[in-house]
Amino acid sequence: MGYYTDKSMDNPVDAMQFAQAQYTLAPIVLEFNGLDREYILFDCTDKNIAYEKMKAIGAVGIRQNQFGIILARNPKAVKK
Amino acid sequence: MTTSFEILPFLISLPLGYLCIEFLFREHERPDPFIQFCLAAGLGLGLSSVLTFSSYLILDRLSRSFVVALHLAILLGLYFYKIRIARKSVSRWTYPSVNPVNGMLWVLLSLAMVPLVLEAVYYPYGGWDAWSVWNFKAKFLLLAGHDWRNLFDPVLWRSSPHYPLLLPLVNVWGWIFLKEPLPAIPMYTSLIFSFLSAGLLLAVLYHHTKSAAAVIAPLVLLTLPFYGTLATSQYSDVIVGFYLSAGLYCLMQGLELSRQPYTILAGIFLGLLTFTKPEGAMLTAIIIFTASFMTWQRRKTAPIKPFLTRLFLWAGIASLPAVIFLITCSPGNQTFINGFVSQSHPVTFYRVKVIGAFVAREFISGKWNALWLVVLSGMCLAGRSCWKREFLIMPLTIGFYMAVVLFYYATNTYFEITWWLAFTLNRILFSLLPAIFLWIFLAIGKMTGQKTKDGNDRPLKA
Repeated sequence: MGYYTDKSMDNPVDAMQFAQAQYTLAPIVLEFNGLDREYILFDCTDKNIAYEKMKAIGAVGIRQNQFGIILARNPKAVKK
Repeated sequence: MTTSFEILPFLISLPLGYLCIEFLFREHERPDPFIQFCLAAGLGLGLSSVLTFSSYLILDRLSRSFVVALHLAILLGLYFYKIRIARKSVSRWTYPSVNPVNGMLWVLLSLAMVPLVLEAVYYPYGGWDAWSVWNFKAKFLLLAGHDWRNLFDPVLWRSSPHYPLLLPLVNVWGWIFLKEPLPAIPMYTSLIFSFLSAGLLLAVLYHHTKSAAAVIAPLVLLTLPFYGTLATSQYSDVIVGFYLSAGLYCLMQGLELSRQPYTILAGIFLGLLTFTKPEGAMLTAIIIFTASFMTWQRRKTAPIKPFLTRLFLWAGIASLPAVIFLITCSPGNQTFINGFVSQSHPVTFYRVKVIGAFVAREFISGKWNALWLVVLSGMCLAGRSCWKREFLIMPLTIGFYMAVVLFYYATNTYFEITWWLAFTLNRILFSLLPAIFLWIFLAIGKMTGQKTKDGNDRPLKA
């Protein structure tokens, strides 16, 4: 599945957050900024940035947690 | 609460390693029981990692029953071999008698582990690289079934998919009787290897010096706060540290005393070292090159062929998992740019200056609590003993390795240098510490130890 963020991976805290997501979801492989995957996790600094990106690629939100992380499905994506 | 299923794999690995050493050594040649215990535990866990790997290679997935059956079959084979040998032997089964002083030193060492255990409990998921690299790989391998090779997808470059799998596979072995990947297992692994590194240091120093002062080195190691932090971070460096010191010690015994089983054991430890990290493979290459060179220099006084044949053969056999991994699994290093040929990321004089300054600053950094000053003082105290022929393999290895590491820092311009040095240089030094302590304290022991009646130094005793 994909993982989209507008945060900088040069910032250790944000890079750690991505690593934690990858560890938690293993053995699912998270492709960083992989918007062409069927399922995508959006972890953005602002929810509106995530919504705009979802709209641009035609993804539909499935779930959102209290930290603003959104799980979306991209129906146009080809299963890899 | 620890359940017996959590510790059972570790309890199987210990006799596996122990019986392997019994198999290699004839009865009168066996190492001191404490040295044998430490070597056996490390060897057993390394073998368990390799046996677990074989399930992925043969069945293309983790089969718990296959891995357990393989362990039990080898264990039983070695056990019945030992019974057969014991029946023929006059002394049959022997139990080591424990010197009270030595016993007390081990009690002290165990007490020194208490803060480390507490720190590990408060640091259950370890450091950043534990969950982004080592434990992530272990969890992936445990749960992925037939899709385990997805772990080497280049999109996972942040998790260093080119790093070998010894530590993740030890943890997979630790989870073999459990339903889910409990975080306690990687914690146990790091604590066990920390204890074994310090234990081997104590066992070797006490065996060769017969002095209660032998406990100083492992106590310094275990009570150093920064050592404790890195030891409980659940990284592979603690395993590199153990296999390096075990390999060097066995090699020293094989090289100086021409004791063949030690040479075989050294080859096995050095082979396992290649499966820990790319740095481990580099260390193995350096050690084998240095040992070959040292042996070649003595070709007129001693036959070199048997030693080199055994070392190369067994290091080659034990390196097979790393070679197979490299050929069939590793996607190659995704984080390497050769700065000497790259036009976009060239090596600059500034980069070299930063490396020099950073290294100098690292040695005097407060986080080491003046440890490197203690090491330097130890070297001064030991004086010429440090450079005696019997210990020379250690400083040569450490020196060559540091030179290669610094050259690599300069050459690979993929990473911003200050960030890279800040996160990795301390781990490199940490993994060298047990070997450095072994070298310095053995040399001090030799210098302060007994002289022969004619005033010459005693040779290093077996």
